[in-house]
Amino acid sequence: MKRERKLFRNIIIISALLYVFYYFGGYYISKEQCIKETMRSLYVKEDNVIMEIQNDNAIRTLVVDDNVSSLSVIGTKKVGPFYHTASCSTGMKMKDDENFSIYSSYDSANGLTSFVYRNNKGVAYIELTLDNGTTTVLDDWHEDFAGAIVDTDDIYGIYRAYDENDVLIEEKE
Amino acid sequence: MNKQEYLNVVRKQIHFFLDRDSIEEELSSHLSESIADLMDEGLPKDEAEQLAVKQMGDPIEVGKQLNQEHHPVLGYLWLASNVVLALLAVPTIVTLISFAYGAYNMLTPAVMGNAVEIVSVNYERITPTHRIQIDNVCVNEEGRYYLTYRAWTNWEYSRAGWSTDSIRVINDDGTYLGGSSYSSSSFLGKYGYTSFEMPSDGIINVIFRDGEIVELELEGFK
Repeated sequence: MKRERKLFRNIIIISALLYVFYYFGGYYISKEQCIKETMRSLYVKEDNVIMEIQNDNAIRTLVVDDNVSSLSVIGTKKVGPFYHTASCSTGMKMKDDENFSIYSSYDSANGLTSFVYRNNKGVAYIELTLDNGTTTVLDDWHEDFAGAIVDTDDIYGIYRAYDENDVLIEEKE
Repeated sequence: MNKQEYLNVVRKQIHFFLDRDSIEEELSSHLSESIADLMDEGLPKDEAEQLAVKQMGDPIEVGKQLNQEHHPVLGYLWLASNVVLALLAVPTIVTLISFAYGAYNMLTPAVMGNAVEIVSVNYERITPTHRIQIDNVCVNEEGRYYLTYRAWTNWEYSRAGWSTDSIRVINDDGTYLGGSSYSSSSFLGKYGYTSFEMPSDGIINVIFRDGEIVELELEGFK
């Protein structure tokens, strides 16, 4: 067999094998498609999505369970040039007796995903200061939820809730 | 320049190293034939060799021409494709073994390994993500009841591959009557079981992941 034909045969076999690993491994070129199919596999309805946050590597979607008693965070992570379902957090209980509640999750690919919920409508923004000094402001409210993806391995820090006059209302670790 | 010196110069012009031996062999054979012909015409061996080499032409030019004809870039691409294939061989073999093991599990009705009593249920339901076959009620030595099932993945619906509880047995008030676990998971689907407490009437309510609740009457457990 001529070398051109051998090369062509090899390319066909390699492409077929890579496609099989890509398809059945649950990899996606688009992170939107990845999150869509992850939600489908978990039977999450579009109506249950509270908000979505994303960066270049990930989408993290906050969803509420049908019985409205718990929250789930599902999302994607980047694996090489592709996207794959990231670890998800489910069953986080809603709390309504605090100024604000924290629903955070961590995965090694994306870092810290932090959602907050303000029970007290006087909370204008929440400042998250991690132990490594990184500060993130959560102020883009969706149905009183706000969130951010922080690319960090240091998941410990302080959440400070402020009113519109920058007066501290409450802080939590 | 003798024959071997000539061949060495030609070799150096061949960029794809795997082609050097075959080209040298072919050229050497050709030169040997020329030398033999010249010796047949009466020339001594040394003179015949030198003349044959001279007739062959400039070794650098000949080498460059042979290099072009053998497409060194194509040679390296072919070599690289072989290396990639070799690297893919390991995960492919592991995957095929895993697939075979998964197929064996998925094609056999699910049972608990430590079951002392097995009663067939043989119920099937298709959900968007899976085709679920509830195979058996198994009772272990401690008297605990397990519903065993196989959940075949519907790849067209979602290939995200998330593992969730496919079925659970629930009480009238919707609370779970036991835990759930998977004993095997593969490309084809999941092979699992869910524990429950057997009601006195032998009728259980099974909730599927899509929220559908099905009442199953378990013959032999009334």
